[in-house]
Amino acid sequence: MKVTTFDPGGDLIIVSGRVWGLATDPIELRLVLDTGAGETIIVPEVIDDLGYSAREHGEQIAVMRSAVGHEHGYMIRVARFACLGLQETSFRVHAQDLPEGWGIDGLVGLSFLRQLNYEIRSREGRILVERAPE
Amino acid sequence: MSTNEAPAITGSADRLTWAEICRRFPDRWVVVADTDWVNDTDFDFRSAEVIACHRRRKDASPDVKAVLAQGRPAGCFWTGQIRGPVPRFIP
Repeated sequence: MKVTTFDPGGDLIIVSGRVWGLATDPIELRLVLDTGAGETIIVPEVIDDLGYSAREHGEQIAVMRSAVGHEHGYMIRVARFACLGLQETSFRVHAQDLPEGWGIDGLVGLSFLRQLNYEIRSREGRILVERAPE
Repeated sequence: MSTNEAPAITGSADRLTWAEICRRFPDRWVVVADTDWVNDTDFDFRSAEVIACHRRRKDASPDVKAVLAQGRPAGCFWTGQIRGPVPRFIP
């Protein structure tokens, strides 16, 4: 069982993460845990910094419906993604711009979370996580 | 350290805590390297080397790439308030 802590008084559940390039050390991330998001989103700047190219490595153009309209981006498979103490290789993320003022690198959505069993203990500021059996 | 709006503020080898980084570089994207994480789950680190700070995330990309090119993990974190996808209501 992995335990991740967060600020129980915050507006959002902020967690750390890491994403690897094809031949680089990782970029460390700050992400919002969002159980209402289907995809895991990483801003394109991070994807670009790791050496990925939308043209060369992108899998498909993606349009995400949000509360404010339609957001354009692309799907891309990163070499490795880690969050909440667990990691996935060849993990597909949605590269999408987020408003500059948000101050985050992306969102952890169900595309990552559905492989886990987890318990969010909001009053305690803790997330208990274990990998779900295959 | 490089910055796109002011002269260098610290020496490149300065290691700072997150609280010190936020105090010295408020409302900036700071590029850090060799972060001494407390564990592999939380956003808690003992200290990190501050490489650069920028007003906009995209301006930090050359510094992030330079750290990665040295074979070091890099981070680029906002020192101000995180807003995220939360509706804000004006009273």
